[in-house]
Amino acid sequence: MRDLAFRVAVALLVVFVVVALIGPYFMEHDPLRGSLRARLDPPAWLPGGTWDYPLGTDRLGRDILSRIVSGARISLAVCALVIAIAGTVGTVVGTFSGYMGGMTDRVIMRVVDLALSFPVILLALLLGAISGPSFANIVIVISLVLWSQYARMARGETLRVKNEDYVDLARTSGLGHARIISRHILPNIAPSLIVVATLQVGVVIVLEASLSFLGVGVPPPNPSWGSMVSEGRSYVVTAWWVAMFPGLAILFVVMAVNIVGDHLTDRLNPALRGRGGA
Amino acid sequence: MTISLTGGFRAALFASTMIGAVATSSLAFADGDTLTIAIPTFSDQTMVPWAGSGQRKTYLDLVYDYLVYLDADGNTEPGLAESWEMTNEGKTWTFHIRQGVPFSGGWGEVTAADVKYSIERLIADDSRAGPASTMRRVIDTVETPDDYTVVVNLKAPDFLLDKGYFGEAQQLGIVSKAYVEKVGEVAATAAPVGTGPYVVEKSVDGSEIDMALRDDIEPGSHWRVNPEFANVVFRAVPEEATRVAMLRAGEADIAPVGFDSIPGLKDAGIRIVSAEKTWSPVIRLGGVVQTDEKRYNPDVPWSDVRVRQALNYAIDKQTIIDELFQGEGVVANGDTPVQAWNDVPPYPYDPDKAKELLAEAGYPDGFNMTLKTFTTTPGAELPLMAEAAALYWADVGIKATIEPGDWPAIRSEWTSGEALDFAFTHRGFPFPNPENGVEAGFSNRSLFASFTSEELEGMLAALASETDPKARTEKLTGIGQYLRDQAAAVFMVLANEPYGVGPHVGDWGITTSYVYNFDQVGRAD
Amino acid sequence: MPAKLILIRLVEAFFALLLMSLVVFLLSRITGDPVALLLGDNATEADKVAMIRELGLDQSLAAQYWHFLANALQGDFGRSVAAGREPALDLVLSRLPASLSLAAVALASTMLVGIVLGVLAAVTHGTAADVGIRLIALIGQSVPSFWLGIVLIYLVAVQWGLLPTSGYGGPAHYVLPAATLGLFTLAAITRLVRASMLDALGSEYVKLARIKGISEAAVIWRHALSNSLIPVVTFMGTFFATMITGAVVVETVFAWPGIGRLAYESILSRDFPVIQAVVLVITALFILANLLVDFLYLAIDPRMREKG
Repeated sequence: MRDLAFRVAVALLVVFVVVALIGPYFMEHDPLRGSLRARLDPPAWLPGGTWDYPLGTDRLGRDILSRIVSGARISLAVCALVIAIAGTVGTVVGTFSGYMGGMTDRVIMRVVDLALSFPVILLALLLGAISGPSFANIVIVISLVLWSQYARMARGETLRVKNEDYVDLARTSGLGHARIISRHILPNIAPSLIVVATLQVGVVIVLEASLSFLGVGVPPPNPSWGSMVSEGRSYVVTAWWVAMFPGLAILFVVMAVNIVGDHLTDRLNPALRGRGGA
Repeated sequence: MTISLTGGFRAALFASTMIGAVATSSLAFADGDTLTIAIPTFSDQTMVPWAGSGQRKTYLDLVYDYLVYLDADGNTEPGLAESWEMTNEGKTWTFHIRQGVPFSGGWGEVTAADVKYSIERLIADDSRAGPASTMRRVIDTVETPDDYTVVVNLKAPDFLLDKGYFGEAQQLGIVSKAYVEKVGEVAATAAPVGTGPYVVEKSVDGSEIDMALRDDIEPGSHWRVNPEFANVVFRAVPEEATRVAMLRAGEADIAPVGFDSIPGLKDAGIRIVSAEKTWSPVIRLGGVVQTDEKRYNPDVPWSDVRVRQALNYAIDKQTIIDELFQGEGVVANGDTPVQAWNDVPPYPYDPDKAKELLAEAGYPDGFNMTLKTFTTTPGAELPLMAEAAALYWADVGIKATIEPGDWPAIRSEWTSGEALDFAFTHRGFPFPNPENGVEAGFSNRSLFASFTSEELEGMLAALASETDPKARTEKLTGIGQYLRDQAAAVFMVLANEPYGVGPHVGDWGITTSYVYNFDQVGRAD
Repeated sequence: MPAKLILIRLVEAFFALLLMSLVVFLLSRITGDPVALLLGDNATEADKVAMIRELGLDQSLAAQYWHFLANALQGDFGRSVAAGREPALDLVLSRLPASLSLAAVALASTMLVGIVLGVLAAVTHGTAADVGIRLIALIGQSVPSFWLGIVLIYLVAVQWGLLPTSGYGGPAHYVLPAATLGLFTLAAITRLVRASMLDALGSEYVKLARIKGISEAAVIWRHALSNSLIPVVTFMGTFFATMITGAVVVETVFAWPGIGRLAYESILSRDFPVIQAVVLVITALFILANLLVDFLYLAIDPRMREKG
């Protein structure tokens, strides 16, 4: 049963990635072009819908299916980049800080606190105001929000394991710091970090949507799932499909990543193995 | 922590606002005596005319009266000034003040001194009223030969001072001099005293302004209006979807709504009242202030008039109006609705002509351009309109990259005095005196000019020196035709401003921009 | 020892605020020109110069910062240029109760519900109940709050007429915005508690407690849970931060007059004094929250206490 869920989730993610990579080449409609005369058309199965636009059209008469497919590329790219950047920076800083302890730890953690305490969404708005919304800005801003969370988690977990017997043993047997961290500490704190990372997939997509809502998301006419939901918010009663389908895409991806994350947690954390997993 | 010097005070303030917030909580469902109006923003939420923008007129007009009012056709009607005359070829205006009009709060009756104070305060250096700087340039001195006569001497002729700067569509609300001088500006800003039918009972920053009918005037005996609601509550609700929900839930009686919400609201039994042609979405083109070397950019494709015309021909504006504006508007022939321009024909939709003109100008394959856009109120549709325009331009080979931004950023670039290399969406408003609008938009002297030419400067000068009313109108029409032929901008829509109106409301309408008549809302029964 | 620790932390917090004031000051100086915004549509060059002088924008950056800092230390951030020339800090403080009370209600209720759900999911792991709770958590994390807020308004307030659509007022007004603000955090707390509960339930001391014959309820709610709360505490500061930044969106949707909306509006209108005051007040709040988290840490986990 759990294996089945895992396989379905992996399959789903593979499908999404493949769709993101090659899907746009198979779409009948240009995701950026629409016809005002065909705006807010309902999905095919509703009265007034046609199979020309299987999931209906948005407020400029653009095909929603094509935009979801094209938006997959943008949304997944934002996710992957942010998690890679924030995760790497945060883990390195946090682990180093926790491992070194003392004054180093103190100073680093103050910086992390500061980063955590800056109202980053305001930073995003300020940045948007300076240079206009752009893909790079979004990745930078969301990474700035998230790296400190990895750092805090990594540091806390490092403190937890660094005085365990096996780390002491490694230390007394003369292993270098880098080796101790990479061989003995990282593998033991990885499960928590993976939980954080899988939590973050949703966070990233939803943050990007919020930035769109505030006017500094992925700039139009390019679609991201978040900006599509944002554009659809005025139509929750009159044309629910505008926000619903990109919203479902977000939900499925977040769900699949989480299931995969849970599975990996079990595999990576020996202590949890065989107990039904986190 | 760093604010600890006054920590005790802050803590007390904090505690008291906290208690206040809980104690004054109210469930503001519309009842029979209360009119609830949800608007996107209170702007500055200041209560004296000179302390902020004209957007505050939504609520300030219930508190203050003006010297001159306008009827539905834009003709003047007596206000706090019972009569007035213009002499000295437009350079002297004499206003005779209505007697026996009391300020609220027992601050006496309106006199010439109050009017003089209100004018001088509005044009003072630290005034933040929209028209303050232009009024300052026009007005020389204000005299009060007796208690009920005000003489205004101008530096240059203004033939429409009554309709324009001194009219109800502008910001010259009359305040009580004695009151402001007694309590100080800060207190006056919080608790306004005017001659209007309502007083402010409570103002919660960024949230709510509650007004009640004055209790020092017998019901029905205000000199100007006979309001039907005892209380008017304004609520600041920035999100359009929320305002629509409030209308549907009966929590708001009147609220401006988006065009796309109109069909749904009608289905739910909410009436739509449209203020006609009160704003005009337009796409302004940068770098064509041709008479100013610093603001002229010959490298932009649209420095060629044929390209500007092509940009206009390429867009199916009627379809944009039908679809994005739900039919609430007409194709624009200028950047703002001007009566004298009624016979100026708008550009028709003709993509072939557009391609032809582009080819003649040396751009057979089109070009790339940047189109900046922002949202404002009214004007939530501007980004959508930008995308729609870009779709049509793409058909003739012009690739427009849309850059969403915000108004302050675009505005500061626009007024920087540098040549721009981009186009931007904007919205025009009808000026009570259209000549002011033409000067602001198309004269070399204006920071906000988007298009000028030597020929146009000549036409503007001829207009300014013309004293015959009929000839003035003809000259103004000529300017409109010239701006249209030169394609001074991409003229889009003369748009209506739709309001959702709930079942408690009877008769109500907006006839002119900036005049909301919220003190004249009728009850349904 | 704790007194000294507290003192050190306060000094650190002071320097953090100082650094932040510099960041905020610089950011707000490079984001645009407030002068053009404040001038009328027919302003002259002379008007512009006068306004620049009035706002002190003609001085050097360093001088402007020094001036700003000296005044800020006395609680004076200058007057709002947009909002009726009210002192900026008063404006921020007058909006603070609305935001703090909403965040407090949202955080308290999501903590409570999140911990209960997390424990339930851990105890019943693998069953339908567990799957259901995890599904709710997933949905909670993948729904943008502005969309959720609008859907809730239409369902609960418009369709069913149970609650007011929006606005700041009595307890009924809190329900929808708090739910919208809290759902994301609820999901995060549920997941965290579930994961660490599973961890704790399999640990030696819980096995030991079971062997000792302590009741299962006591094992779960006392022994296992108290240990599982550590990661929740770790993220408390973050949750609070999420609430306050989430407020920018939620306050807009629900017409809630808090600092989130104030911050957003002041950025849009380039109201420097208010931007500076609001960011520093929010920063101070976060630093305070993190201090509390640190002290909570010391109280909860003896192992941490030894290491300081």
